Amino acid sequence: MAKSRIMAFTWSTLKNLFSKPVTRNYPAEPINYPERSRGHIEIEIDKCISCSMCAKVCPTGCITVDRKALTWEINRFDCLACGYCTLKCPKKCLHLTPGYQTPGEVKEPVKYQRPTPPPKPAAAAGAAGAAAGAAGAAVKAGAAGAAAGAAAPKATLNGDIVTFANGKTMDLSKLPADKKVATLKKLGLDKPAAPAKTAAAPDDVIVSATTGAKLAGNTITLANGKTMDLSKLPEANRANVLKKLGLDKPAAPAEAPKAAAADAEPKATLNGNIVTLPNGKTMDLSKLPEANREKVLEKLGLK
Amino acid sequence: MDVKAKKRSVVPFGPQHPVLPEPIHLDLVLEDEKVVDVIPSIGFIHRGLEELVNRRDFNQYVYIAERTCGICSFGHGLGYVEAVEKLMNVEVPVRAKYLRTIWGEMGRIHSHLLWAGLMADAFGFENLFYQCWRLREKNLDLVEMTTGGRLIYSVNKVGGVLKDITPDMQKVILNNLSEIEVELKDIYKTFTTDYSVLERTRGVGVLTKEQVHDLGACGPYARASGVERDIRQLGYEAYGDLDFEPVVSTDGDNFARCDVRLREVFQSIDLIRQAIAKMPAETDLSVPVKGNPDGEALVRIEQPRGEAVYYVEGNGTKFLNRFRLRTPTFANIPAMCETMKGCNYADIPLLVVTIDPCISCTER
Repeated sequence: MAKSRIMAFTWSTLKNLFSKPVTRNYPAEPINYPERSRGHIEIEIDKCISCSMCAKVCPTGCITVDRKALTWEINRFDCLACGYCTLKCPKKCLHLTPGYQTPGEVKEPVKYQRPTPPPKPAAAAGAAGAAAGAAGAAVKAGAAGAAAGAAAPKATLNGDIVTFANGKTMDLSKLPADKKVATLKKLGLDKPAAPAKTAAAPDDVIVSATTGAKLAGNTITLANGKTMDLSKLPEANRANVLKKLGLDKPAAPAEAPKAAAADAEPKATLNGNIVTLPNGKTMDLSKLPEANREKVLEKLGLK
Repeated sequence: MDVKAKKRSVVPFGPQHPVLPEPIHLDLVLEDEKVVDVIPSIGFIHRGLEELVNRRDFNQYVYIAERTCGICSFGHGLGYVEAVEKLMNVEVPVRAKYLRTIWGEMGRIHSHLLWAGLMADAFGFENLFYQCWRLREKNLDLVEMTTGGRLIYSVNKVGGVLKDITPDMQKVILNNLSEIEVELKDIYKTFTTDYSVLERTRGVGVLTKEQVHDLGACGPYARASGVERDIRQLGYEAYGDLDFEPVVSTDGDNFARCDVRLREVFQSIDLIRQAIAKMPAETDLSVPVKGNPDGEALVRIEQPRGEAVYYVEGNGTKFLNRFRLRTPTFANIPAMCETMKGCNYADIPLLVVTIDPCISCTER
């Protein structure tokens, strides 16, 4: 049915022989990519807000976003240049640009660093100081609220019942053991005694630097371990005992280190013959025997 | 003692072979130079893409479904997206349907020209092979201009398309298509009248109409044997508005398959011209899709290689439960093995290439 010819292709062959080759002389001749050509992803890192939507939607998972360190990382060898991340970016800072990626020896990802954003002025007054101190890393109301929330817990624990700030309750005995621990940890209730202790420690526990005795409320614990109850002593003797044990200083946080620091600097002032001690009391040197006067001045560091 | 049994030998064909675009293995049972039996085995390029649908949400999966195969990639993306749209009762804008049709036909042109080159390479006519692929480059330039990629288009999304073909681009497309048509006539003439080509293709690997029905062949492979079946006649996307007839031949041999496929390229050029002329004015390219897929849906589309079936099943979450893709090559392999029985050993590569094997979509 089809008649056969011997050299049906000859005319094409001759045409090809005498015409310019089709091959483009790349790289001597640069490539003109069409405008829509999908080559590789580029990011305007200044606009990025580290929401990591691009990392969530990437079909290959080649994008990694670190919200704390403010970095955006892409593994160019895994990227398909499909453009899905450019569609989903809320700030439109990702672009699919022409040009294939250059070859490389190692398949390592490329990292981009966001500039540190300025701290937000909208946070609460008390929390703003702490948040600014935290160098503005993802400063959000939630973070400030969490920092404030640690001091004022949003839930209270009573045995096995947790009561939340909105009034709802939860029975922990119904949870399996590992979930119970995780829940307590999440709510910040895993160390119930600790907040009370740390709050009370600066106020109520005084440690004497000289004798090593500890005062907690009305109980004195001596260095040899024995305890003494102040409330059983007559009131007149209580002050003496505290003075003797070096526990009579007024309650202040970090008492022991302060005492040690106070030893280094002069604790008294000299005015003629009157020495004024830091606790306000005065001492008349003229009433002391002469031999003792030198000793006292030396001890007080006034020499 | 059976003398005949002694003369048989088993020769392995593939998975590596110069004519094969993708790996397939055939065990050929030979008696002297005649092939008596063929035992195929596939599985060299299985990547577990159907399992991946459980781990990527249904929007992300469009990009993965496209990459099932490099040659018929637009068809796979289109079939998946159509199936999910049918599942979620989404009506795509009309302009998006026309755009999808145009890109689908461009994909068909590219696939058939690629096949023509491989066919020429299979019988050693390398000059014709390069000529076909040089022509294909013009087509790929058009695709890159409109979508951004040469083989993987990435323009489909559930609910429509992502990019538009502007009127300037349409002019460029029409000009280039005229140039392609002129060169294609030369190639078609060579394939159908050259003496050495006819010696290799005429009368070789005959498949009758009854065998097509028994073995379940589809696509140009079946149409070359006289079966007038083209899934585009169902009218999916914009094909309902376009005017065309399935390209059919009655011989059923290699020559008929070459003829059918090359005439289909002419038909595709004509379809693109019709679609550009009938495309409605600028409207939305996509509709927003809310919610998650639930239920099941089945869609059939005409890939360059034949009828492909897409089945999706959703369970109310953003991950689909099941995605099944039955490719045309999978249906054509038994028919191919049947045509090989009784042919010469030297014709085997040609017979493998005439089904247009796309093994990477056969074994996702």
